[in-house]
Amino acid sequence: MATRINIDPVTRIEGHLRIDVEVDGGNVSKAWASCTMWRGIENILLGRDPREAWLFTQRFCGVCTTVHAMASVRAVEDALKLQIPPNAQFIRNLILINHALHDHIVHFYQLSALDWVDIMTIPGADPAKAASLAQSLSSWTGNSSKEMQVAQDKIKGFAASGQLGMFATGYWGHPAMKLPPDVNLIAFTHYLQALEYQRKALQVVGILGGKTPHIQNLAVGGVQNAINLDSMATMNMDRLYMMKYLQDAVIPFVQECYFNDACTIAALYPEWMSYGKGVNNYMAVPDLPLNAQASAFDLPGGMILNGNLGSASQFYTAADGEFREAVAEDLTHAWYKGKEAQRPWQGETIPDYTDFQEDGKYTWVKAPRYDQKPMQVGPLSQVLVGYAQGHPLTRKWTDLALAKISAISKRHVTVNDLQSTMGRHVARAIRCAMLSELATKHWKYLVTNVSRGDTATYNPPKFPDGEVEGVGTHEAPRGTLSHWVVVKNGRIANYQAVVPTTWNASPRDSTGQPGPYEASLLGNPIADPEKPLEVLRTVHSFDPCMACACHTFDPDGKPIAQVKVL
Amino acid sequence: MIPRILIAGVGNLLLQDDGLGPQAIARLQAEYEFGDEVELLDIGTPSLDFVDYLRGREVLVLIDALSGGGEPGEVLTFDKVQLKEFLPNMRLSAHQPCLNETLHTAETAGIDLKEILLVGVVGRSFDVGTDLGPYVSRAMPEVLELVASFVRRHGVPVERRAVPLPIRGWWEAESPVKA
Repeated sequence: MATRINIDPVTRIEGHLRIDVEVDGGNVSKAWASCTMWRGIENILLGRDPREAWLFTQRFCGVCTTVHAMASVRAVEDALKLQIPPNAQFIRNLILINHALHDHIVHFYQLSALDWVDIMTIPGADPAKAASLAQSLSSWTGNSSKEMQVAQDKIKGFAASGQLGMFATGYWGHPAMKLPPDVNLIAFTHYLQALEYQRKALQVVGILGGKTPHIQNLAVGGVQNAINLDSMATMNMDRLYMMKYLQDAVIPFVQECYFNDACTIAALYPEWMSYGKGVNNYMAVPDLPLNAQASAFDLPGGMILNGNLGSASQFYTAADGEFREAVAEDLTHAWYKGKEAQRPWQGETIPDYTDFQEDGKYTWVKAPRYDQKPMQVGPLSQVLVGYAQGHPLTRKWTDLALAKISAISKRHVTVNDLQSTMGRHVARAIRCAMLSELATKHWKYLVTNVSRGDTATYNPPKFPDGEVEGVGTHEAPRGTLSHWVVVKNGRIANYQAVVPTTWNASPRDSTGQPGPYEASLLGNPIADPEKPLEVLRTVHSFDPCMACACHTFDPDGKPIAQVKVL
Repeated sequence: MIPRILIAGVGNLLLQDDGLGPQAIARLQAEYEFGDEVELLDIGTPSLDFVDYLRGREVLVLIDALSGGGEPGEVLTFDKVQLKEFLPNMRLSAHQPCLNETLHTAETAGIDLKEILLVGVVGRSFDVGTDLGPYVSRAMPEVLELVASFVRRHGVPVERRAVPLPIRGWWEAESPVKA
């Protein structure tokens, strides 16, 4: 007899991601991913000036502000066939890189590490032994026994006061928690350090963007940063070196600490490299354009079908002709009107709410498909696509990770093992390490170009009469983001955002193919249906971000999510 | 120097009443003079990055829409002790924004805020749109005065401007034309 578990956000306004699973014989046999909040927010753009769309789109989500701003200006530029100056590319790239560094660090340490790290074992750890273990695993400078002691005292303080604060609701003592106390202490020490380092990356975004969390420097046609190396009021050498100073602090944290922790935890949970594969079609678009034409990129894009790295194809532009034609959104199981799968430019967002019907409509998320295929997006797709194409930077960091995991776990781990729940965490660390190298590279591109006397940052847009369509993409921290805009006589006639979490959290489609979350949960073990830690592990490995739109504080103090075993 | 008092407007400007926080910040900037001990911040719908803005502060004022706790339009306040009672809950989506999680993380990071005040208004209309609904709209002057008098109690002279500055909110820069 199957047990049904329902994990549901219960607050009225903040309704977000709901997961239902059926457990049979200790393993997940069926799964549904549902978003309980309407995302028709694009409608606010209809009739507006396309030059201002990015100001609105960066309010879609408080975590992904810059990425939606960037995809929006790129979409309008694509519609106008408008190139932007090289300085504008580099400034945008540096914003995207540093935002992603921040985002990945926070996701790993603050938002998902405690699925694997049982902090309640930390009082029993030995700080001196933890320090020498950490020092044997990496050259990171934050591994002294004093740092371990401080972190341990913090947990002891929480435990002694009886108020766990931040950590009141974890699944501590769960049978699936397997790390020794010393490793948990190392991870928690880095958890505290991560709070410091993620912030430095965001400060770079602030220097370039003028302000965080909502940047102010974008424009359709480039950026609004004035460059004058001798002026105090503009982008000058002082600011450029301030950025470098901040990046130089973040880079070792990513390469020596985060990267190493992700590999170590993967090595100590080998079974999680066999769970959670799910949809094994992978997609990424190229990003970090290197010239005004955006004809060359530092990060590759392409597709892999059925997990076969030998079959990888390549995208040569940010929105290839094929990509424009192949993306369509299926509405069969989503609470919208419409029978046929819709291409985003023709897409409509007309609600048709029915309540949760597991064989009918059950979510506000549409089901994007590529040539009718579900696709997984995110760091794992980015890494596999690059690896399959022989992209040198991807190969370098992936091979380093595989060697490290193999050495610690004493078993041969291959790139195919990354197609798993744990693989998604490792891939995110690989991507983050790659980005940390590119941070320095793109800083140099900007400084070199400016030093040559090129201070151009903006090409003014001209809007034609009649109708034009554009698509702007960004390979965001959570995966492929695309904004689709139709401009008619200088006004927005349609706007659709196909976001990474839509790909990954998509419901079943007209042929019954499940989306990546749903498929990845199948076969996951469940030790205790009352405490479905394993479900959280797999769902968190995608770094879901669907909780973006609404922020009301609920003074009734109801739990954000509750688990019901039915 | 980081201003010791932070007034942060929280919420989504695109969802009517949820835009209370950001809209209140725009009104405070236009209608009051706070001096350099106070920073006004439209934080939008932050995740844990909100923690970064709390470093070096003594006093935090939050302005946010409420999803319950009273009648639509009712103004409610919560202090540090009350807020701490709302424990962070299990997250499914890794970015469920919640203020209580931010405050707890700040504490874990060693950030010591002496005083916190949340000024909230119970919302009613959460549809897509940049205009506040009537209930929250009517409560706005009370919210602004509450915030100003709270800041005055912390020894900061807050002046109402004789002539308010124009609010140039980009969200109302131009009314949409039907395409």
